[in-house]
Amino acid sequence: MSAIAFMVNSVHINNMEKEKLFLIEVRNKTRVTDVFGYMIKKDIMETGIQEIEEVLTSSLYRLKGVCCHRELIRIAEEILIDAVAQDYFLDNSGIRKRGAGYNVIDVFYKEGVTDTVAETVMTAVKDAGIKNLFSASTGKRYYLKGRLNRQDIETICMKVLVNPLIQNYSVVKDNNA
Amino acid sequence: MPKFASQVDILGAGDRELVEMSEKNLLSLTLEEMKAIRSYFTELGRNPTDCEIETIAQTWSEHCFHKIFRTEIEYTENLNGKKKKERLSLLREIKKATLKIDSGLCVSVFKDNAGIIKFNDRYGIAFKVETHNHPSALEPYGGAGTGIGGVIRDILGAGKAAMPVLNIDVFCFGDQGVSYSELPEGVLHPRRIFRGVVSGVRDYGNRMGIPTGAGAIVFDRGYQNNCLVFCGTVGVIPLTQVEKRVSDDDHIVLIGGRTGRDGIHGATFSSASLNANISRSVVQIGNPIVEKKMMDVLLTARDEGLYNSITDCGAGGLSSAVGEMGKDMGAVVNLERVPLKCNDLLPWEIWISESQERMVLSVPERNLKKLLELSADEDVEAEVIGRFTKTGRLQLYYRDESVCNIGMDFLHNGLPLKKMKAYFSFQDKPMKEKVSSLKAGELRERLLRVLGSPNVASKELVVRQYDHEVQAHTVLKPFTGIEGKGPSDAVVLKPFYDDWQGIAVGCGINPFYGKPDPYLMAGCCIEEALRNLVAVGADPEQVAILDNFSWGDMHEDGHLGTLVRCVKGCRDFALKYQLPFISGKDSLNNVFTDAKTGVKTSIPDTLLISAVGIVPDVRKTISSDLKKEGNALYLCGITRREMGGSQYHQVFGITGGSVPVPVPSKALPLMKKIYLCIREGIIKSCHDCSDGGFAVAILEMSIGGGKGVDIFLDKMVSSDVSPESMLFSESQGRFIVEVDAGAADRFEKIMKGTDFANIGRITGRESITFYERGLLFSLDIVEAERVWRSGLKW
Repeated sequence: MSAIAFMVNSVHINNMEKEKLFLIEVRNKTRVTDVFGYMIKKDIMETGIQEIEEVLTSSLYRLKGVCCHRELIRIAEEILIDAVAQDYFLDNSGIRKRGAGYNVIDVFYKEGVTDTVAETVMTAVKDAGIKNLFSASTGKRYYLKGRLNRQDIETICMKVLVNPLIQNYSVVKDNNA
Repeated sequence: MPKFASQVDILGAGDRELVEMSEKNLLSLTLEEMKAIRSYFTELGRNPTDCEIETIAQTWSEHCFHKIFRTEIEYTENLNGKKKKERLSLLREIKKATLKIDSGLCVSVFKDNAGIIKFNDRYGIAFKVETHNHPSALEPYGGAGTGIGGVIRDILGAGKAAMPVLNIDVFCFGDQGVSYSELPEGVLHPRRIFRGVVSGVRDYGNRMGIPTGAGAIVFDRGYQNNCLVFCGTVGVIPLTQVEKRVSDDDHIVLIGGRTGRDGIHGATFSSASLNANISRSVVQIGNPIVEKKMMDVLLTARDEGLYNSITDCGAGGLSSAVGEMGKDMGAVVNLERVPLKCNDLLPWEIWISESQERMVLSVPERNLKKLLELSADEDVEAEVIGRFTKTGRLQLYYRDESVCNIGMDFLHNGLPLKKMKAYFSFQDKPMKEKVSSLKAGELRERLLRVLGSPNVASKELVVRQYDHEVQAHTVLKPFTGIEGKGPSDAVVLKPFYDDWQGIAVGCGINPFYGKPDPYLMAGCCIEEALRNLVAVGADPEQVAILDNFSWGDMHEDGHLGTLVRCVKGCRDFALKYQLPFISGKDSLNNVFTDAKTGVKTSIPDTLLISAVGIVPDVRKTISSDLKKEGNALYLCGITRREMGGSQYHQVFGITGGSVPVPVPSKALPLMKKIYLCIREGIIKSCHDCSDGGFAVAILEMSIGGGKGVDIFLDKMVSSDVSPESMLFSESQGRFIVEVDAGAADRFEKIMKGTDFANIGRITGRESITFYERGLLFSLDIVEAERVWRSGLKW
């Protein structure tokens, strides 16, 4: 069920329509407490970075293949979110919606590391009758508020957010920039 | 010209090149072992392929072959200046105890993936505890999850598959409050490891639909760079399914998950020291859904008799699984038939990959179609990858190219075992200890400090994340009492709906006792495991145990000596308590090398004893929470000043003192009598005294039942009269029991001949009051509960 298993499919599709990368962000609705984010904030403070004011977290799903807008919305609404407590955002619209003042870090698995959640997502996508997506990968997005310089952000990533053995991170939005 | 396998030039290699070859390719083979391989291939007149070298390295790894446990050791012991020499093999010593006990309980010991004991005339109980230390230190969530996934497969691979009914988990973590700046490069913060490990075990166990019901957590600075993760599974198996035998000509079927690059070199890597430069290929990430589906297929196929034998793909992957099954015959495998996660794997990588959720079956021709259909129906991948043969050779092909052709005999018997020397020295006199005479108020403060320390505090925050109800057979759960706040000594299961007989499972671990003398640590762990079972109503004569040794750097002087000393303790105390060892596992070289300074740190040598026993009637099971106002409280067993390694000493940084000495000649008869009283129904609650001593035990009982007590310390059978040792000493062989108010005479009559004393009673007040020739101090239950339940931070 891995990316490779779907390759054969993709070659075929490439001839007809260009494959694309889609991103879906899933996070708690504003009124629902982000417990995970709260714990991350505590951990960051214990590294000695007291400037951190708030941490909010989301789950990221990166899908590859061919998919129309309507199908993408179906995937988000029917497979990925818990509609009572969570919202979803396509591409990076979630970052704009969150407002200014946040540094945004994305963390994904390195290539070759087994991503079982992504495998399950692919099974569900296929079961939903959506045929032309051929791989998925999952990640985490962290919104960090506070007066953090670049060094702080690197420290936070290396000590709290990322296990460099299996994960890569990228700073998607940098307030210092 | 070979296309897929490359030749390794071993024939032309000198000794230095051999060593380099082993290091460069992560083979973890010594020069002697490389030389043995060289002479084997010299005889064959050709160089080995990469696949052959890797196969040998996996099979001969410490993880798979247990070299240190099998080899002959010349051991010198210096006790109080008297030297004694002896030759022994560790595995033989452990087995010796089991053979001598011959209790009629054992069905299959030390030969299968798990030990099996008799439950009743129709069923047996399979039990295995594994370690997954290195992977959990690197990637806590995946490492711990695959740890539990692996031991579940051990149970599925015991006999012709046992059905898992319970998981247990024991962890050792570093100091949770350590500052980030103190951590060496490449080490994750202990809090992150703690959360990751617990989450990994929780998610895997819960998704498998197996209850997690028993365990322990130990915190100590010594585990900062190398955490310990012990995962255990209990299963039930029809006695008719215990024997398994591969027939030559059986198909080799690989069932379950696909094979990828995850976990390559896990087996050889587990023998090496951890450092900052580890490749990600050693990380395994589990998928419980795949394993759950595979489990369902296997149990159906077993009942339909579709396969002759089964084993799991653990360390060493297919190499170990097929190699082990075809040991006495031979096997041909076509590696291109193995279903892959990614297509760019080399033949040797396919062969030794430790991808999870895979098992190997030996299936006779007549059942093959049915087995493949059954798997397909359940959406489980199953593929025929080869056949067992009569050739005595292991032959591997990749698209018709021969990539491996070696004799099974050389593979399994060709390893030159290096004789080793070990030394242990011990002065058997109590080390100096600071004895303080404390005022009542100070004792009260100290009791609260011990109660709230992470090793003693309630582990509810962790335990409540586990599902302990699924399968609906957990009779005594990890927490007891009306509000489920009190800790249980052990978990009790009722595996069959039509039988009142139950299984009790518990454990004993205390690395703090091991520092002066690992012999006594062995005794204390064995006794604690047994006490925990007896406290819930298990029959002390129907208990079996498992050992797990997690030790430090074996290349360093000293650790081998302490290991031998500990194994001797296991042997002697198992005999004294009449507890057969049925299985075990060692994880050696738990050591971290700091990349910057080159400094090596080993973990504290740690022994875990897990016990499984029979509760003849689960309706007689009792819990630790206090039940009824007016009932009498007895302390059974003698209290001595044995504070060495105690939690009291850990919390207040006191060193020295005597480590508790188990006295089987007193403890065993006492436990048999307690068992009788529980069966008669006159004991209403029972708790053993362990970490934190008597005071912590009575507080836990009181918190569990929400009932106050009056305790008269001066009535205790104690060889030391200071309140400090009466409250905090961790003397072995002690139980606190609540006896029905009307049955005190009967209780005292049965217990006659043992050491016991009526030390107080349950009151209607909401306070725990200690008297010692007059009022000593008093605690509110609410206050004690708050401290005890908030000591562990998540």
